[in-house]
Amino acid sequence: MPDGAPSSPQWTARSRGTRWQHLFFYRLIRIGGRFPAYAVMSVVVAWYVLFSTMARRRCEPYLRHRFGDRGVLRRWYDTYRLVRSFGETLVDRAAFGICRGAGLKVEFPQYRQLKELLDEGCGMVMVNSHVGAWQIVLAILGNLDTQVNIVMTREAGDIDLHYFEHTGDRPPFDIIDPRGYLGGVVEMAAALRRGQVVGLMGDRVFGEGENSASVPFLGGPVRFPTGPYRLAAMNGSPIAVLLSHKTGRSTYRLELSRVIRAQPAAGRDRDAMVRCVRQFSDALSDFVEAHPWQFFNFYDLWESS
Amino acid sequence: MDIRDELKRAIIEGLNLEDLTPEQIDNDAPLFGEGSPGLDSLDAVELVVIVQRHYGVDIADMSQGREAFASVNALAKFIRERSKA
Repeated sequence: MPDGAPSSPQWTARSRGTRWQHLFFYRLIRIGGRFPAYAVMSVVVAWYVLFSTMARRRCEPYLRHRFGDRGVLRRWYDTYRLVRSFGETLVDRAAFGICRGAGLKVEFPQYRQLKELLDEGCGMVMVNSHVGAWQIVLAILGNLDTQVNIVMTREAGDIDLHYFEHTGDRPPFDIIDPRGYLGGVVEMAAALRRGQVVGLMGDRVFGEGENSASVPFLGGPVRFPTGPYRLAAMNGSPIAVLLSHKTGRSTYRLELSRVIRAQPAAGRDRDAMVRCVRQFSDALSDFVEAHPWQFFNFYDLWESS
Repeated sequence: MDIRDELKRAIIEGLNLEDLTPEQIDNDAPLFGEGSPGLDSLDAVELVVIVQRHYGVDIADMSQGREAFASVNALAKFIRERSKA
């Protein structure tokens, strides 16, 4: 269903930094916990923001759309704040694995509502975004009585570890690789038919941009995937938009931001799919309005910046 | 009716491929990718549902999908083998 789709994604899942830099932080967390790592990370981020043009360039599209034009000094400070917030999340993620929880707590007051969606018996498509600490909050979904499957990929050469990789434990979810045959959709559909949860990122278009739609986000057109909604429509599954944010030094909050319903017959109805994507975009807009420093897409999402 | 013709009709109806006729779908051509009738990856989900609904046969994972969706002939063979089991 391409309609003026981009030829290739601008984003990369590879982390910045070298292997030894990652190992240094992992060792620091192992020895002293999260707080010394925050302190060192703040200095590293300040250096990075001051001297890396690329760092500022990667943050600029989001900051411009979220806050409008600001002076040079203010924009540098905003960049520092955003990257530092991301750094804190990365430290938390590593500490969560290395220190087995690291004193981090995740609140999810709408847990019962999520269970009710699952009890409908059609599985559930869980749409996340690169906000907050999505990996940490996924850990609490391990408490659901059903299998959780996450669609995720790891780029060659990426050295940043997922939290469960620090301990060698089995992840609390199964991983479906979208680079597999037909983008892993056969596995996703099978999981939904078994009444399981399939989690996808609502803000990343894989492949050549087919199965995506352009919708307004922070005042400009952004291309988000329609795949999660088509998948849900074909299986009659409810769609839960789950977004997380950090609320304190040691607390995260997971919110069921939207429940989207795609009618079973709507899978090939492009307008119906665009309406679903718009609901996701609205949820994400509300999120960044409330939590501007928890949005971690460091590339230009907008089609006509 | 031959299972291959049934399948082609079900694909056209189920996926709303109104521009296609069953005769235009080559029995040996892959259902997805180069040389296919123009289906995208998410159409595979609908095709899985169609096969399940019409023949009670489940295509549960990537390796089964790769085998079944190699062509109409391959899908017919896949269904025949599973139906007997």
